Amino acid sequence: MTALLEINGLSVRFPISSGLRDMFIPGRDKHINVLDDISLVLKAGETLGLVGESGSGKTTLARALLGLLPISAGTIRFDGHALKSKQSFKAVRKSSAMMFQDAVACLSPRMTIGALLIEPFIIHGIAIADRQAKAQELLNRVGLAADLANRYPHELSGGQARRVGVARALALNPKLVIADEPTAGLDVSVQGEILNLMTELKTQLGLSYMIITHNLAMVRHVSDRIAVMYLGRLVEVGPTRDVFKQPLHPYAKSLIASEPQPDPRKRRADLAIKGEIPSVLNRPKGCEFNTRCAIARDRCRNEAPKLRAISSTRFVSCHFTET
Amino acid sequence: MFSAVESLMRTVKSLSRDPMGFLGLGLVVMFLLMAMLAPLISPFDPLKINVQSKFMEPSLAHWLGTDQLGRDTLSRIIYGSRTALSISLTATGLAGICGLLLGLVAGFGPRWLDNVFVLLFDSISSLPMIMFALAVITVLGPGTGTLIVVIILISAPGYARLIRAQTLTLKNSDFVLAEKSMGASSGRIILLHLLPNVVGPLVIILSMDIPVVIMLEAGLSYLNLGVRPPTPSWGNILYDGYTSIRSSPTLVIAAGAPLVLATLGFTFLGEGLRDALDPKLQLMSLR
Repeated sequence: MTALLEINGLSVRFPISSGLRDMFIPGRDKHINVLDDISLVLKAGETLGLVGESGSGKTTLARALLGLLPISAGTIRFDGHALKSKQSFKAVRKSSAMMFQDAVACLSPRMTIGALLIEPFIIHGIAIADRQAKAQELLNRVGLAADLANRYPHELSGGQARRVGVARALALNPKLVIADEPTAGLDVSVQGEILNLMTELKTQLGLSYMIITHNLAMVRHVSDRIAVMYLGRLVEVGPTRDVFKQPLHPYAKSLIASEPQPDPRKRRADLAIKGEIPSVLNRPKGCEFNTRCAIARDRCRNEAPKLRAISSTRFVSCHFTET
Repeated sequence: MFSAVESLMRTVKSLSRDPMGFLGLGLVVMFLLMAMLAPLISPFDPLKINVQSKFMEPSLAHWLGTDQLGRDTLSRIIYGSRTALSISLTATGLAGICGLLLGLVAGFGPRWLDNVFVLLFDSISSLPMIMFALAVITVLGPGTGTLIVVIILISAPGYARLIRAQTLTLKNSDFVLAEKSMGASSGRIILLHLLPNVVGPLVIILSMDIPVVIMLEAGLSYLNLGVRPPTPSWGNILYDGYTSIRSSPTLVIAAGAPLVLATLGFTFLGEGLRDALDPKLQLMSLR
């Protein structure tokens, strides 16, 4: 399998609004690293699950990949093209699409569903003979009634809006779909429907997915590989099955252990992490996780670990993975 | 298009449930008809001077009497509504469009442009309205065109600020990001996605500002700085009446009454529209 998306050392920094005093003192302009040195490869046809708790930078990564945020360091290559300038992003927007977390809010409120579905074609200057027919074809593809084309976004249910999101993302037959919490706010049966739909369309159209979520059960079900994020860094990357079976990074261990078990008799090791995720404003020195890690030692408090290969498929950023 | 007609019908319907709003609508429609049908309904030529019949009391021939030059007051009032409405509608309309475009660009454009615009808006609004108007009139000379320019300069910054604030809140909303992620151009986002979502409150504010503009026109015309005589304007009729208020008060009353009614009509309509179009505000007023 060839690499569809290659991220190398990607960092995103936001300036912290500085006061008047800071403006006159050079070198005092502060930045926070929201994403720090992310390297990740997405192969064509694969589904990658990006997991991590709230505030770990999952959504920021997705937005940076689509050029919605300025990149401060690192490179992104998509389908052989380096994404650097605005121009290059524009070229790949045709073959990549994003599904946003809030399915209703990401639809322009004063446009009909039909108009919203046709938009990608107009934006990229692709002529279509019959707009209405095209909109209905797209609605059919995601299992929605054709008469929905005349409705407005606020008239849809959460599940319908999500399906419209899928239809819109797939309108131009992209190669990569980035789905930010595709099941957020849906009840379990609809969650299942959406995931089945996405899997079905994947095999039909030969897509790759990057699924951003904190729903571990879902990730386990749909993704081929997972990448675990913590405080804007990748802590572990590997095949889903292996990572769930034997997580290497202490954070991944706790995360996976925290997944609810359907069987009440099954005892699980108490690996609950204590405390809150630290703020990116005040990153811990050394390893990000050392403030909450059970096995943290002196080295962790002074030296930040790099993401390193453990085997040909597994990567982890921890000094003491053996323990 | 169908939904636009439908929503207009719904607006009128909910206006009809609000007696004040309905009264306002009635008054506005009345003045609009008066202005449009002026040549048909006015009994005399508003500019025809007849010195023999000056300062006549109301009679069957001259329902509202005549002025110091013997011109029929009723005809002048009817033609005055033409002046008042054409100036106020053109000026607020143009000011609204200017405000809309400037606000959208300031809100959506780069930070430095926003700062420049805000500085500009703030400096214009910090000037006292009448003083500023007088200054512009001194430079451009009095007249209808100048009046419209003055009104646009005075009111556009306020509209622009309203639109800018709304644009700023929508700028980072999910649907704008979604459009960006699909590769939509800034122009497309501004015109198709931001504009329809910010224009609603502006329409309400504009309809509530029309009476202010009518008053401003009358005020400046009264001071002989607006519409030039002999063109009839409620303001210069008031001025004519003021000079002869002791001998013949009809003139002042005849010009003052439509001014008051038009102001009330547009104000009621504007408030009615606000309640009809913004259900949230309606809820607040019920509490």
